[in-house]
Amino acid sequence: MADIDTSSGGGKGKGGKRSKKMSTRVDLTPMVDLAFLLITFFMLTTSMSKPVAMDLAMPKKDDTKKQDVKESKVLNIICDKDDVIWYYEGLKVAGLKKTDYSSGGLRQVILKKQKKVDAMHGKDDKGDTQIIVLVKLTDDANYRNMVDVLDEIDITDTKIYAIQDLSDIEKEAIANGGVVKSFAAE
Amino acid sequence: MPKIKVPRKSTIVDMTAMCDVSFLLLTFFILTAKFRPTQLVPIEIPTSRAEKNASDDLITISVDKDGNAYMGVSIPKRRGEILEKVIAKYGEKYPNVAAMTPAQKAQFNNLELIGVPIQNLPQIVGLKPEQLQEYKFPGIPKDSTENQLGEWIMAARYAYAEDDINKLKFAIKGDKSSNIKAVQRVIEVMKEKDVYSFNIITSLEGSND
Repeated sequence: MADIDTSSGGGKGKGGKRSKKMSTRVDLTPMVDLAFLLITFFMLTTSMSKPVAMDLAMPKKDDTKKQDVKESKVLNIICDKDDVIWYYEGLKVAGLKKTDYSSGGLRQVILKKQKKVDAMHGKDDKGDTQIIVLVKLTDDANYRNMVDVLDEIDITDTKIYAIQDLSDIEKEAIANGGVVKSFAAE
Repeated sequence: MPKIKVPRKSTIVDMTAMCDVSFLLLTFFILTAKFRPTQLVPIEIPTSRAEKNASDDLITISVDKDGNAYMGVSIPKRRGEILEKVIAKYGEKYPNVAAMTPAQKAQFNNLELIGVPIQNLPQIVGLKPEQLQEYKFPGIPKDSTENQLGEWIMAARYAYAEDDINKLKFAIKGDKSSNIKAVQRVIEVMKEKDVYSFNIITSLEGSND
């Protein structure tokens, strides 16, 4: 293939001086080594960081129609500074519990609540759990916190969620380390 | 007992074919690799497990870690269309923007990121790529007194409406550590301009950047 035909025409030069035939076959092994080395190098150094997109839909601004939700379906998640998450169930703040962004933290909280909701209300027509997650962000939270929470919501297959503002009671509860001192009327 | 003669075979394997294949692969990988566009403003995007690829025709509103907002239009042709709409709106207020020459507008089309107040646009378009790298972008004003970000969004809507409004897709690309208030302000501006559904640009969890 890669070698050049060096045999001269026929058997003509019988008596003539014959130059020493050298094989023109080149050992390509090092070249193959080199090529694969380069391939490996390029594949390992290429970062496969094609950005991916998450969908987020916000409620319409003039959509003020209140939706009735069953209190027992609701889970509130509040992102605070220093990667702290507060959460409580239902609509009334009786006390906040702390968790974190690890897979054993927030995700388990959502899954546990999902089980509870499933046991109480069953799944909806499409077979989805009926949990409602309300995400609230304090002013000290950062953007990564928001994306992380949305990601956990996506992972746990939660269909109904909303990003809301903090209520005063929640703010007070956070300031008190999760304890609600005064019960204001909801 | 007769000796079985094992024919001697050369152990040399012809490597030519393998060499061909490996270089073919190498060439393929080099040619298909896409260079990451240089980032004019460093933004470290958060990671998520979302798997949908970001669309190619996208208007990205970036928020850096200081909370400044920038707008990027992925298709250069659209940039010019959007600029025309902004000029139509701000031409009277800022005559220097209205007086931009066709050459300057063409240069604007090459800008990946709009990151200056509208009145500073004519200065920025003439800069060379190296100068742009060093330029400190102040971001598009987005507070309620001078909501230029909202105007850019409106301009994008008008520009797309002439073609196909369904192709218009907004995305938010925020820095991991940017304060949530800046991002929420951007979302609020988008809501004011009737953009309720958008993408959040993240990188795949596990990849290191």
